[in-house]
Amino acid sequence: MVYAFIIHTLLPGPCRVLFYQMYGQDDECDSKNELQRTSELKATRKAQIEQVASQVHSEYQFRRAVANRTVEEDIQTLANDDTLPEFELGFIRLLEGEPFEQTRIAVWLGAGNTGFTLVCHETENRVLAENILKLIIRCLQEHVRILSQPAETFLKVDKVCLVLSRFLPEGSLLFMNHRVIRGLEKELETLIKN
Amino acid sequence: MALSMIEKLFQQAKNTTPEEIEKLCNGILDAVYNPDQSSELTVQLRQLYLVLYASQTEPSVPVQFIPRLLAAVPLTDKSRIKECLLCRRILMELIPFHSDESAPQDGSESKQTDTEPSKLLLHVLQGKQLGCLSKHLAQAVCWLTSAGVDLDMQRRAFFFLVSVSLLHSNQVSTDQLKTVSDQMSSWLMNASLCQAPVPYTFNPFKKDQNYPVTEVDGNPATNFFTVLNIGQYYTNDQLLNIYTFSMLYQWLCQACRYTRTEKSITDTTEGNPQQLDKIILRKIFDSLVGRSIDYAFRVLDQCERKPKIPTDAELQMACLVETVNILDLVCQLDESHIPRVFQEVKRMYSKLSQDPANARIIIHVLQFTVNHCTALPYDASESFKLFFHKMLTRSFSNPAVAFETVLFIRKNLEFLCYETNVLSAYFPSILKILAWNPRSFVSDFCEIIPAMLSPTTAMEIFHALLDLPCMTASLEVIDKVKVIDPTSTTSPTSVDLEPTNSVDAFKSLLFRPMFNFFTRVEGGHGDTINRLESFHAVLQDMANHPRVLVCSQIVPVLTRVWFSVILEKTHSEFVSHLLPVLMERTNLLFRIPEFQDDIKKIISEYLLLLLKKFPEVFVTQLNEVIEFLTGTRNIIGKEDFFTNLVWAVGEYFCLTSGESCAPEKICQMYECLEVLSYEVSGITASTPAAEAPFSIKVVSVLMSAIAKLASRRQDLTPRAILCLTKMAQQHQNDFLEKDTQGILINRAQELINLLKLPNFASVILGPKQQLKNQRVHRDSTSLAAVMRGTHRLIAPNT
Repeated sequence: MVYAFIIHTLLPGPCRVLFYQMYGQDDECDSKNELQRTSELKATRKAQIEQVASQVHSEYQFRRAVANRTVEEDIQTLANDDTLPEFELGFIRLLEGEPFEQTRIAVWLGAGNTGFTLVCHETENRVLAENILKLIIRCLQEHVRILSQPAETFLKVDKVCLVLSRFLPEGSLLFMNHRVIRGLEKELETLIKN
Repeated sequence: MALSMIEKLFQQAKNTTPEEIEKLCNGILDAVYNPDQSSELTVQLRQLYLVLYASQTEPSVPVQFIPRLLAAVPLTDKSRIKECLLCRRILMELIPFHSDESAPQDGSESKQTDTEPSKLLLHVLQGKQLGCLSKHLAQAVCWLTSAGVDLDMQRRAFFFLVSVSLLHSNQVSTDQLKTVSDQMSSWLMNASLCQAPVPYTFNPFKKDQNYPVTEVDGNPATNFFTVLNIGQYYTNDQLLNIYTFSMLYQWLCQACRYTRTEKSITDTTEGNPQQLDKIILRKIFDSLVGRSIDYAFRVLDQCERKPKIPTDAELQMACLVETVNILDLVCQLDESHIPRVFQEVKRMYSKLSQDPANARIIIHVLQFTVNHCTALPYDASESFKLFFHKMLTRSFSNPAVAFETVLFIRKNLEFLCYETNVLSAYFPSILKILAWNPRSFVSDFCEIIPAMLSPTTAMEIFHALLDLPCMTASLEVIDKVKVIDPTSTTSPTSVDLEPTNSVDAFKSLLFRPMFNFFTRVEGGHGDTINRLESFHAVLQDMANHPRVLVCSQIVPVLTRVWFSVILEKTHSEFVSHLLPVLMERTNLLFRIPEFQDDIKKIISEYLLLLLKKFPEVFVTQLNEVIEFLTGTRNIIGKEDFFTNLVWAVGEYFCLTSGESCAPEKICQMYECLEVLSYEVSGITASTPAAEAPFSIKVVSVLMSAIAKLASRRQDLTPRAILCLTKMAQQHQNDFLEKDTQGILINRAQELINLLKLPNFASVILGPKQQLKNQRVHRDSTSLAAVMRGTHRLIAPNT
């Protein structure tokens, strides 16, 4: 299962989380009272997401520094022929307590200025996570133009949620062959048009 | 540009006042039940979401807003799905609620809405305490097993159950485990083999035709339905089959975790309930385990078919990984399946191992082998060799393979270290992962490197670590050459003896072997190479490459790890071999100034610690040390190392090494230092400090060392006094600053005075260990007492 999905900016400047969706909540400390716990949970949840995003951000920075391609070239590719640029792929092991209660693995893809991260349970299939992340990005680009207009992520958040509700239902990664995908895509098209 | 717009929008949203938020909320509540205002509702909801999302502090919404919105969320009307999702998203932004916040106060709607399947995710997000999980678990199990429940509902209930079991393993009861597992095994096996009818067109005159689903290659399906069967449209039971396989591994993992927690609880209370656990567990998962194996075997077969559509090939890859993991887990739950499963896994392995592109799957097969090889008569060394020798060499730069490999090594560190030769044989290959991804795996390698060390590999690994920037640079060069001209990697063509850049060097006959050495696959081919310095020179154009730079920053961390293991575990024979290596390597490093400084500092630091622990090394390596200390040429560029060595000679030489240290050895060493002292002070006394090739500290340390040695052999005392006097005289000139001069001359004078009292000198300049450590302030022979007494004798006026 996926614990969280994050969309965030990559370069330049500080990392800004554009969207996140949690799919779970770890066990929290039992000793605190309810009121304390709820307000703290909100804050820690945001901080955890930001921590993951900034780790991806700094990995991506390094990848860019050693690659022969610039961010501008990525955006140019998008603008010119509307093909998806080549994505950087990475994995980060998030140890227990840094920042989540359980060990998790972040699978991320990034291109241009935008990064997409799936925070998965340790037991999750990472080949599948990578495939589905690609699929989600393709759909988000098709319906929200996410790579060229990142601000749409939070302005048209319903569309992002819609894509996720089809391809990441309740945070589960499904083994979808091309016909299952095609069916969901068709469904998505009609739903978005309405 | 887009990014500045993002900041502006966030700023705007942040500045929304509480009044505006309230107005917005009221507007939403007005519109939510009015289908005509759908477009306004969407706009308002989007806006509210943005305001809540951007707010830094806890957002304040009207008291009744959450319960009323909660009541509105269950709208499952497909035409209003966007509004539903927006509402849900807003609620998630506000989550977790306090229990009084989420309970509707008028009470009328509570019964109905509380058990809405679309809200299960919200309960998961509320967490264990606030989400009332146990109540909803029972409801979810009920939906799962009842006939005639909507597919969507079943799906949500199912994912909810798996999700809760993953997050809070103790929440699901054994009965629930059993019920869900039985349901899953029925979904796994009983899906129909016919496609669903086309949902969009309905033709009353056409007779319904049941087309069978096909395999990925287009042939008709041969056996039961799996995720790899293609149909134009899918029936509900087929979709449930897909969901079940997707969740199967994580559900079975639950079984493993369950045994573990149960065990830890019962172990403390009673005798041996382990066996009992296993029986209960087998009962719960028995039918699911059996069917999982059948399903997994069928998927393995299907993965051998060639798919018509490329994305299905990617799915096959994912399926293979999943299947191996499932089979691995199943064998852990019930060992009796191992022989049968192993045959199948072996068959698959022999097919996949031909192609290096399958590295990502092979690593999961290796995990299977590690977990079960004790139960099988199987020698895994060949498969380790295949992966770490052949596959890793080709795909270390693939981020997925690199990550999985490091994960695999860490997870099985003990096994690999004690049961196989993987770490000691293929460490150059494994280090390539680090050299290529220096930012990502530092902490992992801090754990892996100690496991790689053995008496035979330690030295080679030391060199490999120091040369890691060279390895990175070589890999970069090879990669670069491949891009420019793919044919040129085969054999060196140029006979250019003095290439000016790294790419030319790679093509040159002279340097190609060095590239090969640094990118070797196996260890045991010697520790270092000749002409390393000239190799550093040709790689100089890579020194500013970001990958090489980052690599040079992590080497000091790992070198410290290496030294700390050596210091703790090794014996004097190894240190004896190490000393000359340190003498050589301290100045033979890749030319990045910060890197060189860091490494020199670490080597000098650990030199002292090692010599303190193994002072006998001075005796075994006497000639090497004397040769190194002869003349001033070795001071330049390695001053810290040099002064630390001189200091260590004074401090530890022949002090504790007992009989093996004959008097003539002290004389030999003393003579060496004496000659050196004259030479050094000749230079420092005649050159202004700014131009001197080394600092005055060398002189000071030499003085101490001479005095210390002399205090151990009384016949040397007159020579030492003479030498110190001369050194002091030499420095009474105008080249040095007054302060420095004063320090040196005072130091010399103190030492001379001390040496004039041989009994005291030997105690103070070479105190026994217990004299330093024990609380002996009352004892008249303690160091403190002796110091006090001596001070009164040699400096009576102060």
